[in-house]
Amino acid sequence: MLDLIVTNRFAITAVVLFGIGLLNVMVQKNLIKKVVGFNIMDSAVFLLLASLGYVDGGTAPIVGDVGFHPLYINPIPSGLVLTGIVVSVSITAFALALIQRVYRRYGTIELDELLERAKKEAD
Amino acid sequence: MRPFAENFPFFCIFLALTAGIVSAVLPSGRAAWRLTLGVCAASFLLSMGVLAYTYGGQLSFTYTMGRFPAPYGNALQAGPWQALMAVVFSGVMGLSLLGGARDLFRDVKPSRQPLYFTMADMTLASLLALTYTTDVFTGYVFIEISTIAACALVMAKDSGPNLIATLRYLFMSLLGSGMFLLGLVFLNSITGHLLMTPLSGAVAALCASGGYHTTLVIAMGLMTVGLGVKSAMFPFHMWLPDAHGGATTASSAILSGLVLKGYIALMIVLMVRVFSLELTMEVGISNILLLFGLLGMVMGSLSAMREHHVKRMLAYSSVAQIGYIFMGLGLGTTAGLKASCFHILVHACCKPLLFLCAGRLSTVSAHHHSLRNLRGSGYRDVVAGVGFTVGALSMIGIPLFGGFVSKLYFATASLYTGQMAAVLVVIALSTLLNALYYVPAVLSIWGIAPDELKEDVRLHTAPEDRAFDGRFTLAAAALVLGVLALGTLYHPVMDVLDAGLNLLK
Amino acid sequence: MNKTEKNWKSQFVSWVNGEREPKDRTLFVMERRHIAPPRPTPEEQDRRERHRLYRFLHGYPLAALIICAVLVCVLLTAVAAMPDFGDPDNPTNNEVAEHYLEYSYEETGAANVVTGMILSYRGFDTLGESCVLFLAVSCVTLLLRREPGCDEEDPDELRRRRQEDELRRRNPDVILTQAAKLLIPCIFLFAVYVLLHGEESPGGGFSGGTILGCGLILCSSAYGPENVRRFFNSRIFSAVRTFGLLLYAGLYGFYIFMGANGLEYGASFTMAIDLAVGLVVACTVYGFFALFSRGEI
Repeated sequence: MLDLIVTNRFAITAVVLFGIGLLNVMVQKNLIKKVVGFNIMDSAVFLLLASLGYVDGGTAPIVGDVGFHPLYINPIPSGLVLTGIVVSVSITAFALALIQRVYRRYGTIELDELLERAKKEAD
Repeated sequence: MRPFAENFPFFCIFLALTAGIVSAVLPSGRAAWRLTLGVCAASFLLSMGVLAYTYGGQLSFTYTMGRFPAPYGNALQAGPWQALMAVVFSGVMGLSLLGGARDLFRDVKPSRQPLYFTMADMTLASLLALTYTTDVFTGYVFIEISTIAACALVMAKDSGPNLIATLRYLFMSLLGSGMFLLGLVFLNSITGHLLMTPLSGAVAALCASGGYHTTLVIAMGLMTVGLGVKSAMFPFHMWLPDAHGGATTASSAILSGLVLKGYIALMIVLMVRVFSLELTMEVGISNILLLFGLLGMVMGSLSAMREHHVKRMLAYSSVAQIGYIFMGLGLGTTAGLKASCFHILVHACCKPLLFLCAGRLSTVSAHHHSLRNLRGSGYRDVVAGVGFTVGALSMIGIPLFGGFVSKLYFATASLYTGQMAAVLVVIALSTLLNALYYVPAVLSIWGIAPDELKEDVRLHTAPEDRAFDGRFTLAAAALVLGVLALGTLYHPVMDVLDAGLNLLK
Repeated sequence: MNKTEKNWKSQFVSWVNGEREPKDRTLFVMERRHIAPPRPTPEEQDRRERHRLYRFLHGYPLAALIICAVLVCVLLTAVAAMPDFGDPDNPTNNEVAEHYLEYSYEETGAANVVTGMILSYRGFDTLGESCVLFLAVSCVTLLLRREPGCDEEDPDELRRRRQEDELRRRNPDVILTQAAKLLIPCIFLFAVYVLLHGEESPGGGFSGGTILGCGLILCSSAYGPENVRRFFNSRIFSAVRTFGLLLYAGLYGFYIFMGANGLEYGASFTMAIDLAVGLVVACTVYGFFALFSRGEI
């Protein structure tokens, strides 16, 4: 059991981080803290993905003038993480811009106050 | 050199992408609007070409994106099913943008209109890519494109409640994407492939040998739930009424009719091509989909009955109709799948029609939204009234309209499965509940308005709103014809779906 | 007889008009509701709303904790059944990865296998990702760009911004400007190096573009946005961004069309695509900074 945890330490950390991020998203009232929660979730998924590619004893997958090293790590998960990080940054920027707009409009970014003010305006 | 028709899916996607990029720098909103309509029309025609080619030849081809064959490079796969979906998506998007144009140019600020059409073009590109793709990671990237573009379509109408609705939509969507990506990561870790064809071979091998079974089941569950959250499966539908009810008319039509269906199309492709239908039945995911579908059908209609704002009522009705589609997927048979696909087509024609007509009725009645203030509005714009009536009758399930045919197919598909009783009872209940909120709406718009309401409307409606809207009439007429065609000439469509689903593997 | 008829008809008419709750006519019984009193007083409504919100906000964290704990347990069982970390016999280290490692240099010309993979083998995903960047900047522009002469801005905000600009112009921050004088040339040089060496070493369009964007941000912070606008104003921004992405889409579309139809073409486009991606990313990074801090490029 313990050596299972030590062997798969990255994957377990990633899953725990995912849970923490999800808890933040669901429970935090401040909108920016929710966005931070999303970033934690995404980082956890990237950690899991990057840890898939590692091969014991392998080096970075740059073939060429260094000569063919016998063992390289798997390049595919690295490429996927690259795409994922860019997507995550874009979405974070969009969410933060929305929050800045909401702040300008309603004057608060706490969720309960926001809903109250919106409801008051609707009446 | 391939037959030239095989390049058409790739042309459609690239045309939509480049038009979206170019729209961002166009000077005026009208120019961008015309460009987007042109792209939708071109995509419609090219997809008809692909449909003729694949259905005529009874084949489905793989189009490698570049000179590396799968599994080393990316690929698209096109068959009759994908082509039919692409035809309907492009056509309905073009008609929605045509019919909702007047509301659009009034609701969105002129400096932002070109960017709005960028988002519309990118939505079309992502819908086409989700239908044609045969790689799960490409599916993920285009899901994200679709998320951002759809959120931007909601928030284009700049108002406080709309911003909050967009935030809620964005957060729920991100949860869905996060779960889908996690499922994808697990699937890749146990199979090592990202292209769907080698992936299905690896999954079949895993089932046969029994290895990594827990991870496989959890991966399937995560991907299904992730896509379900994004397509408003009950109980994850809370974001839908605010987002669709508050947006401008064309946006509501596109979001309700098309964007939700793109995710369901990807789910269907995953279920048929990667995990086979038998595996989803065995693992129990079909039962979960069936349960959520049945609950959605009932609860969506119950919530719709409480609404007086006409667009929010239509948004809740979308939840109910998506419940139908998930119920069909949850039956786990090819007949159920066929009924779901037919209902996707019917809903993609009906719901935009309903939204466009509701928007137009609202415009000619001094922008009132509640059903009591829309009394008698059918007489102010007869085409909108007729369109709304046709859409409502189709949603209830009256014969001659598309909704009846899809309910018939759902009922038939459930006949020899174990869940026949539950499905038939819930279809009957849901039909009744649908009638209970659509019939008052129809009666209300054709009713006689009291005099003070007539006075109020006459004083507060601007003359340019009251003027005849040719573009809306054209779009509504085309969608009404589509609904009637699906209701009467459904045999050819079912044949195409049959061939398509067989060739989907 | 007459009265009951009139009653029935008036009830039907009022149901159609939406003045009565339609639930009263359904087959199964929802909660028994009396004829609702005319709208409750505002204080009563307020108190009810607040109570509902309070209950929601206090019962909800516990439910959320339980859901997250359940999800983490489910995922942990999945992870426990996953292949081991670092094992060379994992299913992920299959013939696809070996093909990339062996043939990437001859087929794509990139010694960095990851660059070769994301720009050539799986380039469509990278095109989609660049479109996501483009969309994000467009959305942030939609949301945050200040229109000149629009009444959205409140006068205090405007005055504060003008005061800040005036302050910076009169007393420029010594540490920042001197450090920027040293650092900016190095940053730009490093950015260009990373951009151009994407194929031989770790780097490529995304990293190089980010570094370039950061250099622009430092320029803008140290010397003020008006000085940056001398060589990088709003029109150049749109032009570079659009041109970069169009170039990428055009080149990659051409590459796909040629490849799918089995036709041969001469040069390799990886360098041009890398540069285009770098430009798009640099514009995106600087655009986010400018739009968030000032509302204009």
